[in-house]
Amino acid sequence: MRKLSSILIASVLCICFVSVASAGDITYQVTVDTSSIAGTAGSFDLNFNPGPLITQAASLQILNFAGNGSLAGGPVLTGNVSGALPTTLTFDNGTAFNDYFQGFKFGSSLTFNVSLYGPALSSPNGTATSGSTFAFSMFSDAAGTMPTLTTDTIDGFAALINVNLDGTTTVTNYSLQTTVEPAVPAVPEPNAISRNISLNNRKRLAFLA
Amino acid sequence: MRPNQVATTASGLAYSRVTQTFNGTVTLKNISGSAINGPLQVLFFGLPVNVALANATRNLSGTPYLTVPALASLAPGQSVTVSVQFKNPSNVKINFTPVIYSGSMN
Repeated sequence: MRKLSSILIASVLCICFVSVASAGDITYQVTVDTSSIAGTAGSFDLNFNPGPLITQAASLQILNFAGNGSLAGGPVLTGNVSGALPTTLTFDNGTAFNDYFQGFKFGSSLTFNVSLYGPALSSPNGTATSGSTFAFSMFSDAAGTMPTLTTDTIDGFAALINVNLDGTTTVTNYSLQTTVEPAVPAVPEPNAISRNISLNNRKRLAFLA
Repeated sequence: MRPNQVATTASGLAYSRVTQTFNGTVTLKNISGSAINGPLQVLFFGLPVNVALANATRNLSGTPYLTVPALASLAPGQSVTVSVQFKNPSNVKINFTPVIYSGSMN
């Protein structure tokens, strides 16, 4: 009976991790270990939508899409979405449903960056009453009906990123195989800086000569 | 309840391909100087045609409402958040006018 209770609790609750980032434009790196479903002809979904009250403008880009899986067929775009993977996708929250759905044969890994920007992040107006939400889901079927690599067995989300009213962002990660972390901006190594200065001096010298 | 007693805000709405619903949260904050007794009811006035509150508790004269679960009272400054799920097969802009009632609907 005790074991049954544990199973029931585990099946009702889903495991998720929540983290909050400070206000302002932000880029997250999403990395998924898809080795357990490598070879599966599945799909994934990305959407970025406003809330039901007054929402301030926000945009989002999917960048640096990479991994050893393969895109299958053409994507289905709905609402304010442009671009095609593996190149940059751009979303904004101007319509109720802004969605990119893609058939995908999973490899052992998948990674991409999610860059969030716009007035809702950089200059919250204090009068908006709704945020916006980015959702990422993966599926083990091409039709996108069977969620995979997630503990959210009801809605099937792997990760959500909420843009809050104060410009902060909140990540909710339902996938044990997925990490969603703020991307660290590239900082040139000291040697690289001195090399660049050296090169610039050489250019200047060359120009002067 | 007077409108200036509770501030209502909402998250963005994430679309689930599994349930075919737009999912998010609605947060109620007591901005008055005194406690508000539960239960609290959130009424969703003015939802567009073809948009339905999928997890409504019930309807009141055609207006769907949600009962905030397990809330005895909301202290000044305190917030409570409820999940919302909308069916929106036409993908129209989802909006509504929230009206908050204190007390039972029965």
